[in-house]
Amino acid sequence: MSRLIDRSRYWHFAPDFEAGLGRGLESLAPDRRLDFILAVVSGFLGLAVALFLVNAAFGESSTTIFGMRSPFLFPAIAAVLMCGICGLLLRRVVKGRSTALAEEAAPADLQSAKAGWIGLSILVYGVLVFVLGMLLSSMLFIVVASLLFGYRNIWGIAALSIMTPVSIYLLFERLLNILLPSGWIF
Amino acid sequence: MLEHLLAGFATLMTPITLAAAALGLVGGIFVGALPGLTATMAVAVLAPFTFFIDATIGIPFLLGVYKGAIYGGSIPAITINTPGTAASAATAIDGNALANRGRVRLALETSLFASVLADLLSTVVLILVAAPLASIAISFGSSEFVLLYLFALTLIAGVSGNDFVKGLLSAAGGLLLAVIGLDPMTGFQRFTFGVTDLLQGISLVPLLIGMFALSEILIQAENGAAKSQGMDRLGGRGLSWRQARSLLPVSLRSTGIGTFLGALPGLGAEISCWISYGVAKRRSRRPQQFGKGSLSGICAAEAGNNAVVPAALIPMMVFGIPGDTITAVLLGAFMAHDLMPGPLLFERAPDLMYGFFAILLVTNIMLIAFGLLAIRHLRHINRIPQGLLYPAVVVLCFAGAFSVNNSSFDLVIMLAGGVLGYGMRKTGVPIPPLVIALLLAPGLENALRQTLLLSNGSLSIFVTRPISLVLLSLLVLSIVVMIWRYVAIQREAAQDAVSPQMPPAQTPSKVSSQE
Repeated sequence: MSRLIDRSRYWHFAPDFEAGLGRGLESLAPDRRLDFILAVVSGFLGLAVALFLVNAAFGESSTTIFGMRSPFLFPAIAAVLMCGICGLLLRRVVKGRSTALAEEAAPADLQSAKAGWIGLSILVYGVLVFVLGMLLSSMLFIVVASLLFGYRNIWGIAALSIMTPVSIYLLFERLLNILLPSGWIF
Repeated sequence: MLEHLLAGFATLMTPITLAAAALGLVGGIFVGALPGLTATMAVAVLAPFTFFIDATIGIPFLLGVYKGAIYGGSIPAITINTPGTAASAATAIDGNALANRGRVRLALETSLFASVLADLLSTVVLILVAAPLASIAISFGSSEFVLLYLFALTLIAGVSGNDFVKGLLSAAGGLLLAVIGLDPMTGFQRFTFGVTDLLQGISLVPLLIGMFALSEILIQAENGAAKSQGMDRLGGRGLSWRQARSLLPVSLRSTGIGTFLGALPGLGAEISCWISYGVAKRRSRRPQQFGKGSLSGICAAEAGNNAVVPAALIPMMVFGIPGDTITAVLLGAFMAHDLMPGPLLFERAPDLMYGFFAILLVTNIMLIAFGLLAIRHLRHINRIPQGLLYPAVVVLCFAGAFSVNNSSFDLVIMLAGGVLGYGMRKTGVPIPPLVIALLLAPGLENALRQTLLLSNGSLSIFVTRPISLVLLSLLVLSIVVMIWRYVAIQREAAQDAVSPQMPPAQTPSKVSSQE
């Protein structure tokens, strides 16, 4: 019981955190929000690995599982580390102390939407490679990505979208004899 | 040693090897000079191309790229105040200040002078140190390697980035990725979830391409293009002999710092440039000149980052432990060529190893020529539009990642690496600890098991062998220092939190990239 009371001491150090709990994550300062997210990720990974290990340990002999030569040793270390890091990060969030030196502040004109579209186009390209083959999908990707990057010179895009895939194709398949991904169509 | 070096020259001084090294150097300078294309990215994307040609051609090419890219980064740092790579961030301060006073040529030539000198001296150190160190390392047993790996791991988690906990998180992530696949000793499947492609573990090069190249492109897309004009005129005279002579002391000191830091695992060129810049400023008789176009400032920053290049190869070649992310990629390339770096390699293929050293020396002389050319012609390189550059780089990433193992699953790994790298950059988790932990963990696990097999499971083997004992004390010392530093930072942060709003700490790097 006395421990519980002792714990609550932390909350007095972080009244803004206490208030923030009611209003959700957005009310936390950005660096603490980041720490919280990282804590969740590391805690999740640590627990998942631990669960996996426990699950895998069923049916194995105890000599396989325990001891320094066990295949479980390194995953277990990773799990313990992850959980420990989760604890450290949570402590930092609650205490309101974050990184001593803050990371560079994000510039005001951050173009997240643009990056999102470009990321999506890369993923779609990754799928198309196996449908259209490397040559065609690369041509298509370069046209789309150039436009997404805000480049508007049609001749420049056309030249690049033909020259890059063709020269990569020649270099890999003809000169170096390396296979490129081939699709269903080409 | 001299006969090995001569034999090395004889082995690798073929026209095609020299051409490959020169091509790598030119390509490296070009890529390094493009803001947003980092040195690690260049080596990672170009590495797969070399897997299919002979090691005597492929490795010199990559060494050229590495060296060229670190130098090339200083050109846009000086002309447009945008470091081409994070390693040149310190160069931008005085270099750009001097350029703004109309002395572009002087600034660029000073940076070239410092780069070449630092690189040359550091290469000599590499040549002198590597083989003797390897002959000591050959007597290392698995227990020594366990401690060496642990030492490297703690150093990396401790020093990468400002935030110890995030560095540790990154290293733990690397450890987690490293255990995926078939356990080599027991055949136990770890975290494969029935995916046969995962049995061999995560393929390194595709992952690195994703983490360094794809994520960088997304970050650059977010930040928008650097809008600025190239310097139109070279402006006045270049570096005179008298000036160069007066810069010798600061160059030598910065070279020493860069070489020492480079040889330690975990500290790359992007940290070294700041440390040697800071030391030069503190030791200078005219510190007020720093930031206003001081030649010593340019010299210190550039010598500090270029000296790292050969020095970082010392732990990589002698122990197989990469010093930073670029050498981590190079290590992957060595392994792909069936050259497992380590003390044995110096016995097995001394000619080849010394040949690589010879290439490093020769590329230095080339760097003077290509550097002078680059000064004349590469000032406008930032005018290449992002919209043309990045899509082409993405296509290269795909081609490279696929071709490593001819596997479509590697493309999935690359894309996942891109997402992971982007997430890590956005959350301020440093990437280098992950990469280096991923590379070191399998070696550590094997060495640990071998050691325990030898000692019948007893840990006393680490204290009964003298070299082990020395390494163990070093390890303990580094951990103690790390914890002490962590506590000090925590205390400082606590004091900051108590005291009224402090002005934000000036962040050193202008570029988002982590080399």
